[in-house]
Amino acid sequence: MWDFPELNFPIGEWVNRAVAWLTDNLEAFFDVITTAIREPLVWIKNDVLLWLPWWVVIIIVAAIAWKIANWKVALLAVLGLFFIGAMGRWDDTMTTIAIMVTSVIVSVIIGVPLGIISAKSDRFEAFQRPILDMMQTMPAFVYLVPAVFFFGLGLVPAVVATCIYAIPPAIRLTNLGIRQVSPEVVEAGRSFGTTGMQLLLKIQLPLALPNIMAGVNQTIMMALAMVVLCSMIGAAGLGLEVLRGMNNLDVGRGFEAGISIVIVAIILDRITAALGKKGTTA
Amino acid sequence: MRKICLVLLAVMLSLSIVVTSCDGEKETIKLSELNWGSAQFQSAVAKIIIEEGYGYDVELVPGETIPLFQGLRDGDIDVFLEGWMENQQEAYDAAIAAGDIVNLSFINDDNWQSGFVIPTYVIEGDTARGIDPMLPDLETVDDLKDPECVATFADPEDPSKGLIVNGPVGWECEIVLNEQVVTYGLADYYNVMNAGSSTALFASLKGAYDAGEPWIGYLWGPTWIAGALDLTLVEEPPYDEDVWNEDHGCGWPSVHLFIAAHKDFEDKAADVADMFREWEMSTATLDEVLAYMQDTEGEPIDAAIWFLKNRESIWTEFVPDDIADKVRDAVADM
Repeated sequence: MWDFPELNFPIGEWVNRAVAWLTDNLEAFFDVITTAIREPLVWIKNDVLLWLPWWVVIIIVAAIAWKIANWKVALLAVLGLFFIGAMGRWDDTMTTIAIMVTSVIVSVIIGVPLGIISAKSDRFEAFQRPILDMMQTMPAFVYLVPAVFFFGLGLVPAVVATCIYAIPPAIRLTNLGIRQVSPEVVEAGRSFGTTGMQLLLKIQLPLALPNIMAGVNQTIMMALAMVVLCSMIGAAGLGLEVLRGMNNLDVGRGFEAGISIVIVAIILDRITAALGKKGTTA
Repeated sequence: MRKICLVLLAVMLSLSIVVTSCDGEKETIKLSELNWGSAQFQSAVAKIIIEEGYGYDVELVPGETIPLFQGLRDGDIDVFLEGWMENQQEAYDAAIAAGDIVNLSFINDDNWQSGFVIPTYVIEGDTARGIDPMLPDLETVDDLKDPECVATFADPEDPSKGLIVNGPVGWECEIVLNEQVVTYGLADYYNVMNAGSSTALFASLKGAYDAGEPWIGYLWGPTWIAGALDLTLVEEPPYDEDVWNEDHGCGWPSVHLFIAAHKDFEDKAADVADMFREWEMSTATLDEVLAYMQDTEGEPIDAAIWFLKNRESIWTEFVPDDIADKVRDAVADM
């Protein structure tokens, strides 16, 4: 009488069947997604980041940091990236950045439009909220394994898994940003006879930009947080080095890769945070 | 920033699994429960026999090889099974040399590993599933250089080469297979990719198998997936110790699957230590149990009960008759 009755809800069984059905019937669909992610990712990794000489990469990052933030961030980027290279973690770091950049691009392409829809439609907002909660709290291992079923091993499932985790902040903060645009400004726009599209593009999105950039910033941080987990499905890069270090009880090796992730995170955080602030003053 | 630091910290902590220890009760024996099927099953069998036959309490400590092995050295774990000695040779040698652990038993000598495992349908096809033979002439690792083989196992990220899936990072197979690919002259034809974890390795093989696609990579036995799927090993030169030490240019030797105890375990429970000294399980036995476990979607403990009920001739060899009687009686009610 004290034990919970054995109802045996077969939720797990249903999920297994759903996964099997998806593998059997939507293979072509997954192949298209796989190619759509793999091609730009491999291009960014092999033909840009790893093709450019290391000092060119550092100069470009520093220039971007200087332009968007200030000379302090640029200096930080130069020293940080040089330090990573000096530890012998350059190639791993470029691979990790390639995964991250691809994930962030995909997340923004999907997240920002959905965020706009959420801001326009209360019903859609109510609908997406529990789904986003689930995406952010479901332990990543649960979807890492089916990701391998659908997308194979390596970089592509890593990007997919990262996006699942990193899209919610992009949607949430875009939604929030547009909703926070003051009603008076919107009213003023309307009284000048703007169309819905003009209102969105010329008034709401520019004013929401700081929030949207905060969303991109969060997306980047989420993506970096997934780096280690994604190495468990064979994604190369810094995460794999952390895992290798841990599996061999080689704490030093894990630390080197871990500190490299931290450096990349700090540089990207400072740059995107500055981008958000710039939006406010513009 | 603080957020990401916290997340990273949490990830690292959860990776390095905290082994809990409790003092006081001397009667509790702590057994490792390593995170693969054959080890979990044997730990479950040992737990039932020790609790029902010898009257100690048993606590299973789940985790990965390296953290649990460290736990054994520190005495947080009493008995460690089933360890794969060659896969952690350095740690094992260091622990033995320091006198922290003692070896109790080698479980079997017919286990296998290979970096060139393929689904059998790649060679023979599978008429029932409508799969045509893809590489009917593939026999030895030398044949893998054939352009048709390379194209069949093409690496999606670099289609000019084939792709061989390696085992989890940090396992011995990582180094061995990378060297074998060079020694066999396959490095110009194949990339080797790390599966990251054993779960991902299984998912990769199972995903390809269910879709009837070609796959080549590392696997070992006993494992449930080797029992559940129809797999073939591409032929390598037979194991030769000198060749192996030189450049790993031959098949794997069978590994020593060991049971080890902390140095003080003898004083704590000599009778249980004696049982582990007699412990032996062939790969065939373990494959059978693992396939049963997978078929019934059961827990290791269910498989252990099934084994104790149905394979008495094996486990009664480990224990004195009076203990065997007690275990038999207890299992009958389970």
